[in-house]
Amino acid sequence: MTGYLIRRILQSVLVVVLASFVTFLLTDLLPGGPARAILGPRATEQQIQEFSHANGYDRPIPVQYGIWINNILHGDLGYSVKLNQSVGALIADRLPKTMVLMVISIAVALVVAVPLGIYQARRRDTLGDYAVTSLSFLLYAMPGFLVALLLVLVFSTGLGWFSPTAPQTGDVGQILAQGNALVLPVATLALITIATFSRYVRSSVMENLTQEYVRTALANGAGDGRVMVVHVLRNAMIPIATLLGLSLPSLVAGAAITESVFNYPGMGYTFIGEAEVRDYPVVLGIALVVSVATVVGSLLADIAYATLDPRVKYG
Amino acid sequence: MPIPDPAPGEPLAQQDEPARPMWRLVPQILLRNKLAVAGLGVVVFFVLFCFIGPLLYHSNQELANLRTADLPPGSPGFPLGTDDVGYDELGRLMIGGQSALEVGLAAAAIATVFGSLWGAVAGYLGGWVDVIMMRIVDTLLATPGLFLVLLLASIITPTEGLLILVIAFSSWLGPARLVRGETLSLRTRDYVQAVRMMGGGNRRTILRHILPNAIGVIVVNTTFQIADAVLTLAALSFLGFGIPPPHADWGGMLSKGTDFTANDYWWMIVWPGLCIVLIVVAFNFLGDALQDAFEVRLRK
Amino acid sequence: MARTRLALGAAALGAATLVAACGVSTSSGDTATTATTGGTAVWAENSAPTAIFPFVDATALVNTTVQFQYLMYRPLYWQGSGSSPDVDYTKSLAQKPVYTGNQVVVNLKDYSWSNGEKVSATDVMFFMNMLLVEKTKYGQYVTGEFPDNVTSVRATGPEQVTFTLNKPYSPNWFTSNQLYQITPFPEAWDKTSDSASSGSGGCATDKSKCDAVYNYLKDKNKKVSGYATDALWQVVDGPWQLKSFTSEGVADFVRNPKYSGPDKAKLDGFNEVPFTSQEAEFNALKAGGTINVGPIPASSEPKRDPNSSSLLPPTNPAGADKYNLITDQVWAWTYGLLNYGNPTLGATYKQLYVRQALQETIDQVTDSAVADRGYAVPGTGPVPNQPATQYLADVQKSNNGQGPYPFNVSKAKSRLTDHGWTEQGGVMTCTRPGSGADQCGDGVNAGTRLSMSMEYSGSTTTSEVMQQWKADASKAGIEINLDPQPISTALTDLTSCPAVASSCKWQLGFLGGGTFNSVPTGDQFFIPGSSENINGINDPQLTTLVQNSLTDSASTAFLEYETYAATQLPGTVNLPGGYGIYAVSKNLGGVSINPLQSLSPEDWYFTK
Repeated sequence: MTGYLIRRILQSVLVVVLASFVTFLLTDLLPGGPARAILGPRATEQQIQEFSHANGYDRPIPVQYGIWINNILHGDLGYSVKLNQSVGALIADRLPKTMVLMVISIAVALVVAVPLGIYQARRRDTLGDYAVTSLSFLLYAMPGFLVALLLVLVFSTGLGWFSPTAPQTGDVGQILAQGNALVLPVATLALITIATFSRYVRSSVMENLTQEYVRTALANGAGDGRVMVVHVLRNAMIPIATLLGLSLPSLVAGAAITESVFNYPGMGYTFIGEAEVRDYPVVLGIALVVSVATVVGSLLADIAYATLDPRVKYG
Repeated sequence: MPIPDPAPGEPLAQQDEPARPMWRLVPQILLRNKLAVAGLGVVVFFVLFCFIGPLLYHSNQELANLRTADLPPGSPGFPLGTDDVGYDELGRLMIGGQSALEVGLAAAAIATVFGSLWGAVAGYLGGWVDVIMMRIVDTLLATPGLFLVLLLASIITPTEGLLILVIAFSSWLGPARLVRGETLSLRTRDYVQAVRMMGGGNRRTILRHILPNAIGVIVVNTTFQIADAVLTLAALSFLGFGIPPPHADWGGMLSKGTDFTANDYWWMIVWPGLCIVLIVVAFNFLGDALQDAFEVRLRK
Repeated sequence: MARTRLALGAAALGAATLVAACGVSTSSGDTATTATTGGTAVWAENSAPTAIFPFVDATALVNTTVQFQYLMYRPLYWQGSGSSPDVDYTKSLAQKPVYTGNQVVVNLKDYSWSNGEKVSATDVMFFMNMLLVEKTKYGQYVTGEFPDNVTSVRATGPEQVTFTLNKPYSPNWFTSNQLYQITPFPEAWDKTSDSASSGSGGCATDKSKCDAVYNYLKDKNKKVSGYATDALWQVVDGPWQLKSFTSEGVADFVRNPKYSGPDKAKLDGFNEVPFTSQEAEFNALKAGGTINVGPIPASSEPKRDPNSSSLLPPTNPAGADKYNLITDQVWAWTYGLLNYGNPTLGATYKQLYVRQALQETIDQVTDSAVADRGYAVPGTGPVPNQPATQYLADVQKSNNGQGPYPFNVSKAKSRLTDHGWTEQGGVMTCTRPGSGADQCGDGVNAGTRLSMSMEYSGSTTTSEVMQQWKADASKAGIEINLDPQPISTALTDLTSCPAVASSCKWQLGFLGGGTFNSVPTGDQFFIPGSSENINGINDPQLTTLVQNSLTDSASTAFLEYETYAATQLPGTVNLPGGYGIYAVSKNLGGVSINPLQSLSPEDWYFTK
């Protein structure tokens, strides 16, 4: 196992490096570079040249990449001219907000989806299953911005129960203290995630219910509930563990649309906003963080898999 | 949508002989599952609505006319109302669905075919080939696909073909992992060993034995991919990266409709929203039923 | 207010940040309310301010940042007065300058910085010296204009500065379009390190020392976390002082008790809050309790009858129980660009009749009523039609406000056919090349087709206008292919021709238009090489008329330029100029936004 882990970690580092290089390459695709977009329409051609030169945009891509990697290894993620802030400070500011929102949303989704999925699997092909499945699919099928819109229309503009604006502070403690403001953004994200999660729980539980070992346990007199919890659930959680691991990137990438609708400038919103204005340092910085989260998540998922499923052996 | 990565050894199929052809059982299973029938019905309806509809119901969908903009359903000549530049909503829904269906189906097909082949080859050959191929998948997963879209959208005016490629490019990773997992378990089957011992080449084995048996997983995944592609298209339009006017697509119509919420132009939201939801739900029902069908096969 | 493009994402036709009600009382109805002092008002920002040092470069030169800075650091001359674009001398740091030939004498009023020091001539020289040394890094700098047109500037008294110009200019223009750029800097900033003493930098007296001081201040400007805490930025001469500032752009101000101006703040505090989207801001507005003054997104405005006597919406989308509405008109010109440098159609665009035909296929009346939802008037030339000022020439008011080329598709078509174009496959093709009166024109090859692409960036309103234009133009045989792009791409694509030859493939373009300083002269738009002249306009007669309007103080020179430009349509077509609607809390009075977008919360007050 240790050998496997070490190999995977090394591979993960390679993946992150490759991914960041690919992203770097993509920035080179844009004709004209970032200068005009950053400096604005009034800048002269000479100012454009100076800016490009000062920031190294006129050098070959591998050289630019090398400089960027070198800076990162020295703890410098770069500086955004557009926002007049260092990328590191920007990420340090936006990341906690995003994580709070995503962690709460995914936690809520899990808490609802697991029992729901079990219910669907056990009451399979009954009216209850059909109803829940239909509702779950309905939620899944609605684009995120539509869900957000409806929630705001009904619960904020209409009933006035909740604030349409997410907490405005950067301090995690204060964010959590403004529960009312978190309800709608969390609900938006959770509803869609619940649909995905419950489907996986459902199919996973269903698959396990038909397994030999369940029939054996039941035949041996084990109680229905005990079998469920001890055996079925444990095995059914395997794909959920994988799912959670694969959701790790979203913890840092956030959900751009939700952030935009609820005035919650997090990582996703910042990424898209800065990509639109060709603010490369920010885009590359956030992409790097997301890449790291992706490989870490993937690794954790595989480890969870190995831990939970005794049949799996990594050598 | 994240797809779990089955690790080696996960028993997705318990049998040790070649499976009976899937397609014989599928209609039977589908008909037994009422939701699937409903889903199929919806899909057929939309295919007819979007491709045959415009031949029967003519409306101007090429030239804007602000003088007939923002009309509610029931206005003379516009049974479902008009949008913000005066296009007839009903006609626009029809051609709007063409992109959704075309992009959805094409992107899912390309992603699935390419991804399945990739996964099958990686899983079957194993060793270093597997490691490299799957690390490439990991690398691409770790690269922000959205950025790619933004970039492409700014260099080239998005066309349907481009969007198909972009969505396919970011979706093939799921099938790759899934099929790899399937392949890993399938290659230990006796009959596969038998074929190899009899001298069957790798290519033949993959194409004629591995993939057909992994078809269950592949087909199920495809239907979900189609649904996802439609949603991705809607999200892209919302973010401003749809195909420019006068092209129509449901996502763009819906997203533009939400701009006017305060003005109660409900028809601009409800019709395209309903279409998106129905088609995505329909494909999900289908995929779900197919998944059940393969579970049933496994149970026997 | 700084001249910046309107082409910022959300702003375009029907821009959301706009000017005060023209001639309409801003607090509706109840005149029996009493003004109180105290309270904190919250203003919804368009975007986050990104710089505090009022020597902004091109990147930071956006309205939000300039508004933010002016709250604390007053400009020499305040652009915009009530609903007029003219200079507001009451809010200015200096008295009206005295012009004698080439000389301009500026006398400062009796203002003090919050640290007790007087706003003196040295402070003006500090700014001027830095400008002279670092002008290429100054966003407002235009080659040939300020400070290039100043041959010398010196302090001629403790509170007096004298400028000698390279030639006599129109006082009106020079004061409001040039001198307004000056923001005096306090002596406390004239240093090169934190521990150094005020004035030790020496930039106020010696230009050679300015580079070091500039770099020091620029460095300070990068530390966003220090904006509200650093003693440096606490030295202000404006009515407000910054209490806190976050990296997202949430800015909290408190009243500066040492402010010397006549417009002292009645409110205790003023907060600026940024929003991630118009939708988010509008939801917050409707929910109430968060924002006191914020824009209504264009798509959320109810349709207004363009002939209505009130400029305001017929119903209040933010809630009539919570808010009053005011208008926000922008001192801007909304126009589309024709690329004279395009290899295929450049020569064609240079033909006046072609431009006239293009203009005549734009149905501005319908656009204003539908695309702008009734909150716009047709644009008829390079002078804003709204608010109507003395700058508006008769030619722009002609044809019931539609200008010299009202919407007329058949006329457009006949202009083309009269000049030797024939419709082939629905697209006009040149079948009679040559320079004669009834021929296509100089440089227009036979077979040239009027099929062109329009690359634009803008909101829903822009998109609607462009789609309508496409539809109407097609009826005259002109084929327009729409190419909407994100603003960064449009900027990159449209602004590098002819410097970069491969950038000349754009044909029609739209970046939102341009805003003006108080006097809407055409020097930024029409003179070859000027910053907005990205499409290669080079008309010697126009250039002369523009330059005359800068130097000749008589209004006839300006009107002559305007009449010529409105009839010639140089490289441009006019599009409707929209205004925005702002919601103001019912208990907040004194709120108005002038055409130059100056923000003056010191004039606001809560009512009982």
